[in-house]
Amino acid sequence: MYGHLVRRLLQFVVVLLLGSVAVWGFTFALPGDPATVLLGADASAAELAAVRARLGLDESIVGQYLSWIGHAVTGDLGASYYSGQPVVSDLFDRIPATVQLAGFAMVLTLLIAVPVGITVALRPYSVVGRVLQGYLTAGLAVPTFWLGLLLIIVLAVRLRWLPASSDYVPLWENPAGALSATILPAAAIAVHTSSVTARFLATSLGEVMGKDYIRTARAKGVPERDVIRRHALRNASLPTVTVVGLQLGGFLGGTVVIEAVFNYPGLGRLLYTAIGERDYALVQGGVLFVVATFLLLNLLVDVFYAVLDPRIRLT
Amino acid sequence: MSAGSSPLRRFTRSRSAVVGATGMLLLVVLAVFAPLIAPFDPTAQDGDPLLGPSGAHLLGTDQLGRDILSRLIHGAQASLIAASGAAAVGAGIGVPLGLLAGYLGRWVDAIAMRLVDLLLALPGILLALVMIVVLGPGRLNLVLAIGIGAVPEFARLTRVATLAVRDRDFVMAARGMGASTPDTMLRTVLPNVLGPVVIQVVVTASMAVVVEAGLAFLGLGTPPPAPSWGGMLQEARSYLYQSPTYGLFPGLCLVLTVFCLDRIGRGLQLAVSGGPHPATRPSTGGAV
Repeated sequence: MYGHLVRRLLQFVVVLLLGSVAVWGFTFALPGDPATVLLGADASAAELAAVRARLGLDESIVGQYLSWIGHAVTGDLGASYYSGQPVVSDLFDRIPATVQLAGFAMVLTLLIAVPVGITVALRPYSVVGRVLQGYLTAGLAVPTFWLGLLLIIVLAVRLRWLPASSDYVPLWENPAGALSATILPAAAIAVHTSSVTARFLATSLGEVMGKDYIRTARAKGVPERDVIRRHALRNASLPTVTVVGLQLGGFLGGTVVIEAVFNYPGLGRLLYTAIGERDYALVQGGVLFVVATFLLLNLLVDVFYAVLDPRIRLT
Repeated sequence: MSAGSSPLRRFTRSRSAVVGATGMLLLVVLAVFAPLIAPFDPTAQDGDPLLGPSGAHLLGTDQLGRDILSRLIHGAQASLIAASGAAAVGAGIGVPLGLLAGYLGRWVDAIAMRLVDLLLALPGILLALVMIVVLGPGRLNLVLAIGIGAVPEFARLTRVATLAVRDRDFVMAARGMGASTPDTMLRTVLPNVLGPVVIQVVVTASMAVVVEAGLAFLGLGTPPPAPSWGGMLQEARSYLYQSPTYGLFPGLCLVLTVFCLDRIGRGLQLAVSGGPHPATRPSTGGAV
């Protein structure tokens, strides 16, 4: 098992390094020199040179990378070209909002996906099963940002039950306010992700239910409830864990459009704005953060997986 | 399984697959013959702004008085270009990558798979967003930006399929008869790994439709004044109070397109796997 984990950890480090080179590299491919962007087109050559020196743009390419990554590992991602604030503090301003939205969306996803997946797998031809299969098909087909728009039209514009744009309200300061501000974007995301997750769960549960050990468990008189809970669900949940891990990773940087729909001040909006303003330092730092978090989550899922399933350790 | 059940027969026997294929065919016809079918010029401002559905403008008009139905019909082009282009880019890069990684193994495999891991670590929409800013706007760059995000899935499943056939007898036979490595890969291995690739093409197409719409919604999709469904949703968002129906129709078009592609994908799965085995592997993309 340790061999597997060590190898997995090495892969994580390699990909993270590769990612840091790519993240650092592709902001160089962006059109426009940051010094020109900052000062405008009619700046003098001396002014441009001064700003380039301040931003470290006059060093060699390798030197720039090494100094960037050197600072990055100590938690210094430079200063935003635009606000002049440290990138890390800009990021940390938005991370709580993104984590809160991701958390709400994940809780909703699991609350919907688990019962729906189980029902669809066990009773696919019942009335409820068919209705839920319809939900899965629809949930996969409806784009989250359009669902967000519909929710705004109905619940905010027509019925005026909830606010149309969602500010970040910290959960620990004002739970009710946080709920009402975050529930709409979270629901818009969760309809899609719950359909994906439920389909996975239903498929693997359906496969497991045909296995010999389920028949054995039934034959020795285990009540059906326990057959499903102890024997089937535990085995079927493994592939689903991977999907949920990937989704959680996706929530951290991938909800750009949903955040735009609801004017939600998360990480996605920050990066989108930074890209528009050609704030290289902020884009670099933000994308690096998203990539690192995603890779770390994936690593954790794999470790979790190896702990749950002894067979994985051999491969 | 009956004797005459070829993959095509199995596909056409699945009702939902036929529904999906018919819908997509209809959409392609609409997109190709849009100028002939659409009642108005999609960029002509020839009505009052923000009208509701009426006899003259069946689905109403937008904020500039343009006919929404005509813009929807023309907007199908943007979605279909993104869908087919992104699938072509994804498969065009991902399949060779997976084939090389799976067949050659060792360091080629290690490098290719780390690249894939890296691409996977950036959510599709964010990757596309950054790529578009790097490459600049425009239809071709849009297709590239979305397609790159689809490379990892193609590479991974081609690699797995290649690993499964690499040491089979017919591959050994081809090698034993003196076929070179490239020849074995292209003529013997590749045709035998195409089944899952075909399904992934459809999955990618539906992902691309949603991502294109999402980018257009952010103002980075198909450049205006050419209509796109995502761009129309972005405009509709500003007029939710004046014209709530405006935001309804472009989204419905997206839903129907993705629905049809999903049905085709399921039909293909039946056709390829050879039975009504419900082992569906839905894509995780789309949550933009």
